[in-house]
Amino acid sequence: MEREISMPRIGDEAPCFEAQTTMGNIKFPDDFKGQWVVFFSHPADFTPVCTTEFMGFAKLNEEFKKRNVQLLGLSIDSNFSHIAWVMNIKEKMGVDIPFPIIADIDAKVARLYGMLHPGESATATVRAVFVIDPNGKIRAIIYYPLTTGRNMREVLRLVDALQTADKNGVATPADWVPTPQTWEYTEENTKVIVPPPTTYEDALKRLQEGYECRDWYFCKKGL
Amino acid sequence: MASCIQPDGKLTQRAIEMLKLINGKTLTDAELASITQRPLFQIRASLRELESAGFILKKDEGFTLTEKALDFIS
Repeated sequence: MEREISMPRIGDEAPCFEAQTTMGNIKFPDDFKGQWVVFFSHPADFTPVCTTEFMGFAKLNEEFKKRNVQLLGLSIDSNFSHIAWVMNIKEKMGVDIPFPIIADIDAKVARLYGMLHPGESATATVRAVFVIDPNGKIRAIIYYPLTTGRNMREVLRLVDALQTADKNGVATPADWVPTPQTWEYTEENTKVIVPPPTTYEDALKRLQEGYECRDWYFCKKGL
Repeated sequence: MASCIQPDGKLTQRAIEMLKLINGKTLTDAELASITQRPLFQIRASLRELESAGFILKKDEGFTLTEKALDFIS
């Protein structure tokens, strides 16, 4: 018999769980009551697209904090793996990851939130985002595939739109922004990720292959 | 991994600092988060552990020390 897949929907209460994170144990959503939470999954630690996403969330963390939002990450990796990865990001990219990451090694939370999409990957979570309000209700859900990094400013814009709707009793139109924005797209944004090596031998060679590398698993190139 | 109680049952430095902050006062989770500059969820997790271990008591919206905690930090 196939395992029943839990898929919370917009308007549902956020499912409860307890978990270990890089910043200690949590009881969800109790420990976050009164705050908005952007709860997101990534496929795996030490993967390049996820690393860019984490740096993107870290860069906007203060903006999220101003909006009473706590960021919360998750992947099917151990706590030691998460810690090693955030240490690596700090050492190689100079970016501190200021939010907790859930160690969901048995995929219990990932299944509870429908973050595993077997058609995409049987073992890695897709790039899911759940926006949960201060009362513990799911207000928005986004899914992206493994190959495509999310736009963190869009996640921030989504929070702004939800908070504006709640505060003013209004709805927001397509492409709405709270204030005129100057989107900071640069040459760097046009570069793509080279899939990371999958053997030790290839990993040793990777840094000599002429790509722009920050570490063996994190290399970019222009098209 | 406990954030307040170590595997050998001893309190962590963070837990001791928190008890000292609460000593003689009734502080809410939000006030403790503001004073310590730590995320609210982390403060709540610590308070839950300290309450379960009998070091603090919830009083209205805030927390106060128990006799056990007073003995410990004196």
